Amino acid sequence: MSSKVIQLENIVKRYGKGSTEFLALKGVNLTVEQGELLAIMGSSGSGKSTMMNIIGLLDRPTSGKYILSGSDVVHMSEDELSFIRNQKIGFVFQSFFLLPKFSALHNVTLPLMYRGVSKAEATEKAMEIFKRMSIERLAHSLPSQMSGGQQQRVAISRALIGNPDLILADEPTGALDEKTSASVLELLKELHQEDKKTIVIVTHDPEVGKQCPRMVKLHDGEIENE
Amino acid sequence: MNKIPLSSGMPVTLYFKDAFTNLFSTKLRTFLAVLGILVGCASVVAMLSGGELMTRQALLQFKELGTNLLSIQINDQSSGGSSSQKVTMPEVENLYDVSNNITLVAPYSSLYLDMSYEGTPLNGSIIGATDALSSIMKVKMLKGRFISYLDKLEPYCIVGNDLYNQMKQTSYKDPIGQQININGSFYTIIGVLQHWPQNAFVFADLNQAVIVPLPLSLAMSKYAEINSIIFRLAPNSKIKQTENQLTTYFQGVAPTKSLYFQSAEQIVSQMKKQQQILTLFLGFIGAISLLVGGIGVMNIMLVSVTERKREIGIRKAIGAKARDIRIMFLIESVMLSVFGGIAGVIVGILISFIIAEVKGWGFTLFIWPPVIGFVISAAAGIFFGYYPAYKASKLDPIQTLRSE
Repeated sequence: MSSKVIQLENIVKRYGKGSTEFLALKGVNLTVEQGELLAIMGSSGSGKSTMMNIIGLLDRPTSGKYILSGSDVVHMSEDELSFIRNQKIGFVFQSFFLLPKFSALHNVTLPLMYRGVSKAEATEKAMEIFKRMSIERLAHSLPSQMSGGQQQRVAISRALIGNPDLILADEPTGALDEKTSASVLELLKELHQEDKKTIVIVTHDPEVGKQCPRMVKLHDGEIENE
Repeated sequence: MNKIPLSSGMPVTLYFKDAFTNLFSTKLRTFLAVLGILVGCASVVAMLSGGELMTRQALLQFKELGTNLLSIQINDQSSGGSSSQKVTMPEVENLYDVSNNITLVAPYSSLYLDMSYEGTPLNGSIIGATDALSSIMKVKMLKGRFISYLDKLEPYCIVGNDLYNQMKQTSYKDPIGQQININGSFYTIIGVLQHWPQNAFVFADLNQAVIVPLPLSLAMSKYAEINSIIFRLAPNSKIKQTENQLTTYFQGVAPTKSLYFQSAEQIVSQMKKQQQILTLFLGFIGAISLLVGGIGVMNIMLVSVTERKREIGIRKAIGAKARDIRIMFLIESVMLSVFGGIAGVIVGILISFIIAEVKGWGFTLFIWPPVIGFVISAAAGIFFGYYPAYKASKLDPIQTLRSE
C-alpha cells in the first residue's frame, strides 16, 4: 500500500515586507509517496533551503497547505512541531550537526531520550544501527575524533533511530570528499531500497540528483520540471 | 492531532549528566560562576552565624545570673550638691520590707583611692560589698574566701583576678596573706576571685577591684557611700511595681537622690532587639554579595546560550520542546548555584568558627544560617538562570542552526 508522506499544496513563502518583499517560494505543489527517494535540486537562491526548512517543519509557509503523513502541520504550535519532528522526521545535515561534547552514542540516542524511551532501550537500538553502519567501535568517541564520513554515518544513525516516516537530507554530501560522498549516497540508496525508507535529499549537486529515482528542480521559487 | 505532552519524557538524571558535561567543558567559567555564589553564600552564612553567636554570647551572662535581677544606681539629684545625705546601712536593711518581691539585697559602694602592693601602685577600684554581692553575682573564689557578714570593720580585702595577676608579676610571694596599702592603711588579702565574666548589669569590674567589707569602705573616705544596690527578686515578680515601691521608699529616706533602674529583663530585651537588627543588617550585606554572585551566574548563562545556539537548534530539530531547552539551561544554572551554595555553606561555617575562636566565644553550629544561605543560593540560581533559559527556549531553530 502506498500512501502520501508529503503533500504540499500551493506553498508560498514570503520574506520581508513592502519594498524589501521577496518571494522565496511561489506556490509550490509537491507530493511524495511512501518509499520514494526524491532529490530536490536547485542552485543557491532557488528556494531549496526554504523548501527544506518548510518540509522539515523548521519554518512555516506564508500560505498553502502541508500535510505530513496525514497530519495538517501548518497551524501547529512550536511544541507540537517539535513533537512531530521528533516522531516523523529524521534529519541529515550538510555539516552533520552532532553535539561536539557528547559521544556518538549519546548523540544518536538523543531523539529517543526526548521521546521518553529508556536509556537501555535507546542504547540497544543505537548499537544495532551502529552495527548496520559499521561504526560500532565509534560509539563512545566524540565527533571531533571522527572523520567526516564517520560523522555523517553517526548523523544518519541519529536520523534513523526514531524510525521516522521521512528522512530529510540537506546536502548530505556537501561537506565530504568524493569517495566518502559516494559511500554516504550508497548508504542512503540502500536505506531506500532495502528498508523502504522515504528519503528526500535537498542538493545542488547534479551528480547526487542523477542517482535518485525521482528528481524535482527548483528554480526561482517554482518547481521547474519533474 | 493527539495530545502532546508539555515536555518530553527525558529523564531528569540525563539532564543533570548533560549539564555536568557542559559545565565541565568550560571549567574556568564554571569555576568563576561557582566562586561568585560561594562568596555570596559564605558571607550570608558567616554573617548570620556570627550574629547569632554574638547574641548567644551576650545573653550567656544572664543564663547564669538569672533574669530576675534589678539594680539601682543612686545618684545625687543636683550635681555639685556637696552635703547631700547618704543612704545608710539601716536604710538598706529596711529594703526587705519595702516589697515582698525582694528576696536579696546587695548594696555596694565604689570609690577610687591610691593603692599599692609591695611598693608598686595598683590600677583598680575599691568596692565595698557584703556577702550578698557574691551570692547574687555568683562570684567564684580562686583562693581564700569572700567578705562575710562578720568582717564588718576588719581590714580584710579580696582581690579581683586581673589585679591578682598584676600582683604576681610584682612579687613571687603568694598574695594571700599579704597586705595592700590603701591610702596609707594596710589591708590583708584573704581571698582571690576567679575570672569574673563581666555583664552589662553591674557597673563595676570585679576583676579590677579590691573588695573590702561595706561598713569599712564607708569609713575609708568621706566620699564613700552606697551608690548601687542589686536586688534579687522572687520569680515572676512585677518589675515595674517593685521599681515604684523603691522610688517611693527612697523619696522618703533620701529625697535628694535620684534612682537609675536597670533590670536584667530590660537589658536582655534591649540586647535581643539590637542583635536582631545587627543580624538583619549583616544578613543584608551577605544577600547583596549573593545578588552579585547571582548576576554572575546570569551573565555566564547568557554567554553560554549565545555560544550554544547551534546546540539549541540541533536539539530543537530532533524534537526538544521549548520547555526541554528551558529545563536544560535552568538545571545548569541551578547546578552552578548549588555547587556554590554547598561550598559557601562550608566556607561560611568555617569563617564563623574562626570568628568564634578568635573572639573566644563558644562555637555553636546553628542550623538556620546554612539553611537560609543554601536556599537563597539555589533560589538565586533559579531566579537568575530563568531569563537565559527562557531566552534559549524562544530561539528560532533555523536561525540557531545557521549560526556558527
